[in-house]
Amino acid sequence: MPVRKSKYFRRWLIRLLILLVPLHAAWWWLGLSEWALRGMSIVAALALPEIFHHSVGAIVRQDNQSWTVITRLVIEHSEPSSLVVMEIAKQKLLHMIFGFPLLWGLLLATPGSRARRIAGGTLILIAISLLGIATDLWASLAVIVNHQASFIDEGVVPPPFLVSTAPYPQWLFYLSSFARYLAILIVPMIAPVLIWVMLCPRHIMRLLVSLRRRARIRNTEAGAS
Amino acid sequence: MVRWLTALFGSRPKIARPSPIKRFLLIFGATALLGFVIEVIPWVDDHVIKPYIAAIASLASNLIHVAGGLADVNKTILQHPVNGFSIMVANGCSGLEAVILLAAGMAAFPATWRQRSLGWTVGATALITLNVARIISLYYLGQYSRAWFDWAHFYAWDALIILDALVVFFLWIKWLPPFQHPRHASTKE
Repeated sequence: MPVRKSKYFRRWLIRLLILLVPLHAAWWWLGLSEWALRGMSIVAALALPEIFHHSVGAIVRQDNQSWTVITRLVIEHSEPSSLVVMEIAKQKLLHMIFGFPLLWGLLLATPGSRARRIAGGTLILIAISLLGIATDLWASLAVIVNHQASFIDEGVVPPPFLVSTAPYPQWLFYLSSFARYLAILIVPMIAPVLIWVMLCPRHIMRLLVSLRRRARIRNTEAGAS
Repeated sequence: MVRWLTALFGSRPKIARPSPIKRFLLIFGATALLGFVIEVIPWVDDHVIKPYIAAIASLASNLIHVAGGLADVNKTILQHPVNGFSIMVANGCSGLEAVILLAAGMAAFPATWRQRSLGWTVGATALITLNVARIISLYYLGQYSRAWFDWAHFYAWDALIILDALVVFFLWIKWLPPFQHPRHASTKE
């Protein structure tokens, strides 16, 4: 039985590459990333003090789009007693959410109910990004509380003061450093692809079948010659 | 075990087989996590990762020299001898994270070990080559504009590398011979 040659993969890839150009332009140059950061800061201001209710008091967005984290950690021997204040730089926050244009590109290039998938995918990625920021914050708090440098990131060193809080167990300290490594380096990169795989399983199967069909044609042609 | 379960439940228990995509995601996640755990072990970092990063920094410097440019290399630091601009190739800039993700994807996909080995070799070479291009481009971009350097460093190149890994993965699947049932595909040759 002759098998029709499929251009499904090539068409999908070209569609994706074409879509990524305007999506990245809108994200980086038309201010979409700035708006996303504003939205994230509202969610973070509500969620992070709840997640770390023992150690985080408030999250305040600055004019330069960085976030100030007012902790509940008291600096030892400070008169009057002062709290530790940390800053999450805009650059780091933007890095945590750089996957949105890629996710939208992957979902838009895929046939099917795009609006529903984009809404769902965006919500999932917001949750994952927020979790990544929370993980980074957790690891930073662990470095301050334990007064110990991160074992993975040599640049993350404790401040010159001590805080009056019981340190984390050593295994939890290591776990926080590893979780931060995953949250900063791996998750922003792979999350859009995994969300796409989860939201479009049928399309992925069709894409794979299309790729394997081409292989079958090649083999059939080679056998005939 | 099955006899014991049969006695307990009255009939042979039905164990749900995960769908191919769920199975893929499970194996992919576990393999990638194992790769990242190995990568951060201090001994591996000292004896494998750091020498590897020094080697790619040296390769980037040699390529810049071949193209007529100027770059001095000191372990993982590339420095311009005239204007003093320098970049340090840090652990996160090694490109190994994308290589681990690609390798995990190939490990999770039904194929023979020989096909996987070839995929790992070609895929890792493609990603490492792209990463060397990334280092050279950042070296020049940083001398031109700090803002563009930051943009390319923190956002654009990461997106490009994962996209490259995805395309390499699909091309590897395309190269694989006709579909075999997953139960038979994982057998050693």
